[in-house]
Amino acid sequence: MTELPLEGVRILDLTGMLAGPYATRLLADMGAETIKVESLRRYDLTRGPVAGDARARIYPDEDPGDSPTDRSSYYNEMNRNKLGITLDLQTDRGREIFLRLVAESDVVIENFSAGVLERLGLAYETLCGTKADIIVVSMPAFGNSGPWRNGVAYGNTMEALSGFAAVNGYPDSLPITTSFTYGDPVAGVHAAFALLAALEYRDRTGEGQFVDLSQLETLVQFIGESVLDYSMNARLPERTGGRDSSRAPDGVYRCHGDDNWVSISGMDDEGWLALSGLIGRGDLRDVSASERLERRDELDEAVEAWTSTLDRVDAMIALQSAGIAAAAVLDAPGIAADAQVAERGYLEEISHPQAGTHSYPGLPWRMSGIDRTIRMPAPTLGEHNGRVFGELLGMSEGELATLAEEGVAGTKP
Amino acid sequence: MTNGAPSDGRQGALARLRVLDLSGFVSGPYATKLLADYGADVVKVEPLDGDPARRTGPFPEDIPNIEASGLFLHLNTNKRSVTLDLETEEGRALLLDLIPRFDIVVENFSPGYLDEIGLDDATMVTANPRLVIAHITPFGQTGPYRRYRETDLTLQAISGMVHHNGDPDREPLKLFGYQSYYLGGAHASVAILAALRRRDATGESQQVDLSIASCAGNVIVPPMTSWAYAGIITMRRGHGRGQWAIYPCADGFATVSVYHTGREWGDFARMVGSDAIKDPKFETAAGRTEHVEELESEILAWTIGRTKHELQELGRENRIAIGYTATVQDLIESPQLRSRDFFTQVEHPAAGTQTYPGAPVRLTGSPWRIRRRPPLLGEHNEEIYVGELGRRPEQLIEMSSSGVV
Repeated sequence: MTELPLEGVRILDLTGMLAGPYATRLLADMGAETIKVESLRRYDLTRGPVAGDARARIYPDEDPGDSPTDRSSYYNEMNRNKLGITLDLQTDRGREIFLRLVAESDVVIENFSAGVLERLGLAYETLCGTKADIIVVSMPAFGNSGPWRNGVAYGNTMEALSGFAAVNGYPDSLPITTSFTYGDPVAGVHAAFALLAALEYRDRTGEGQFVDLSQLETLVQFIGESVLDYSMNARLPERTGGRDSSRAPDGVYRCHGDDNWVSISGMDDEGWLALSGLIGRGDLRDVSASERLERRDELDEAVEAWTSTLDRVDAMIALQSAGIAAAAVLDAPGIAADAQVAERGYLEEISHPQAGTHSYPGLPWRMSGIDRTIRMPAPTLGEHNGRVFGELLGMSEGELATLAEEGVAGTKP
Repeated sequence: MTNGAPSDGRQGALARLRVLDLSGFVSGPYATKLLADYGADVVKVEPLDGDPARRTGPFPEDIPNIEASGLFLHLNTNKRSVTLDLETEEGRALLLDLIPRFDIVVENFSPGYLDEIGLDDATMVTANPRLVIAHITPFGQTGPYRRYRETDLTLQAISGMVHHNGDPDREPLKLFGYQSYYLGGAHASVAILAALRRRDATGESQQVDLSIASCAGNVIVPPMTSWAYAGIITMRRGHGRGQWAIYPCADGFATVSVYHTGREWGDFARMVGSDAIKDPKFETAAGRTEHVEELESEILAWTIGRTKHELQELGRENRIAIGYTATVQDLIESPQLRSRDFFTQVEHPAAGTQTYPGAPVRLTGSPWRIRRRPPLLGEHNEEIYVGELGRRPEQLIEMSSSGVV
């Protein structure tokens, strides 16, 4: 049996940016037929085009080329394994075709602001009129109700509003946010879960449903123990610089070279015996757990005197060989060169007709039925109009040409 | 105890499923919490001294109590608990008797441990040929790091989370709490439901081999492609720069995020309203980068005189992403979360009535619901071993005195 786990599931994907596309990427990676719906006027913002500094980060060789909207790194990472169509939902013809697609689909997922689908005349009730058991997953920033329902937010906005930023930072500094918009993938993975749960329910009962996801409410799950602590003890966590306040040494230590670090953690007496020996400080071997906390700064210096002579990966290997929990602090090239990543086959290469051949992260797990994750590069704008409108809806070449002439669907912005 | 969903007796979405949960601490339990909160029957198999999360705080009044850990309570709603020593012959036999009654086994032991005690995949699948087995481990079942010692810090480090968090001119930072484990658990729930679909389609057992480090790495989206496409190493950004940054305001801090393409810059400049911010030199991404310090002082001049709630409201009205740095107290008092009745109260005999996070997602047709408070250690031994497996009550007493349960 080589059938992919989600073969036979068809998703109409109206999402853009990161949170929604993260959800559908996981599902497309496992074989769901995911039709990404964009339009010539409004395509996913991560397609760009961009100028200035951002250009260097987004285009191969910093070159937008003739077809910049097909060369964006973010877009191409998030949308592999998906089919791409263009359809202007602000036209009657576009809406009519969309409803015909709904009739052939299991799920519609969107991350517009609350109320946008209604204004397009594509409210959940309307979609149910076309397909009674349709599942609609709606993931606006704050959910579909409440005073903030129309609010706009990016991942870092969510890091702030969810409570993450307040506890993220050095003890002596302001709150900070990550450089990977943490709120987006956290919302996305929960959306993927909810979508599969709704499918399971539909298969059992025959009923579709409306799924309302607030990105804010997903992030709060990941600090749930702080909610309990506040409830139990009225305690609010502080910015600790990410260090364990109950054990020492613990934290990140400077290695040889520029911005090169190793993390060391989970220190117990046995670990300290090994570590003090490894760093050539047998004189400190008997320092007890409580003394290690009191003499934390001094011991950090002793550890760093040793780590700073080594590369992060060599330090990790030496520490792990001595039985100490440690890991290199990897950046993107570090991950690309990592021995474990290589053995797991986590990064996969694929060629894209406009962007060339690059490596992308695959699925972060292995499972029965999947040997290789990335079967198809991200779609160029409207690349699968012919396949979807023709094969799925049975539209003729002539009808497709008319759609392009009227600007309802096409391939050039 | 429902929220975001009608309490009309409809079943949760996953009510068909039975999950035998051998996992502990955070990663596996978060996956099975999601399954349980949406209706699955999750039986948690704990070692005799309990899930290690039970010994991790926070505790009411900071008094350690294995029945009242806030971390454990958060992660184990809607589950039943049995105790079992898997390293005894009888314990292993009991587990193999249970397995045919379940759809899914979830475990997060060190790779190889279950093989060593005679509970390898093949043995479990012999007991139940339709079993979905989810292995949730720090690095996966294979590879040179599979037996590495780890904590949330080291997993956040190896995955790239730490490098991309912190000030660019200082040491990189771990994110709060147990983020890599939560990410591993959340991703596992997706993998498990997908594996289940394939199980139903093929009738065959399915295995999932999840790497927590890869799940954590998977969320570092833009930096990986910036490297692959352009050879650029993304640096941590600290408080951010320019129109994508965190600013002090009259009573706290707020993020301002204006995307580099589309309508947003124009709307933002109109909202701030000063002549200086409307200067054409800020209208392009390149101009905003070139004049970033001036831009920052203009934005700061606008935020510093306003409260966090005023800024939030202005952002909402003008469709610009602005968010204040909320504390947990702010969350509980948040008009948005209150309006949606997000938080929920759960009574517990050892921990009292406490506030818990509510539904992460609202399945309006098949509600999220707290049907059961988090279990006491071994609370359901009799229910499962006697009631379900048909062991005699005196056998249970015997197993209890010999340390099997």
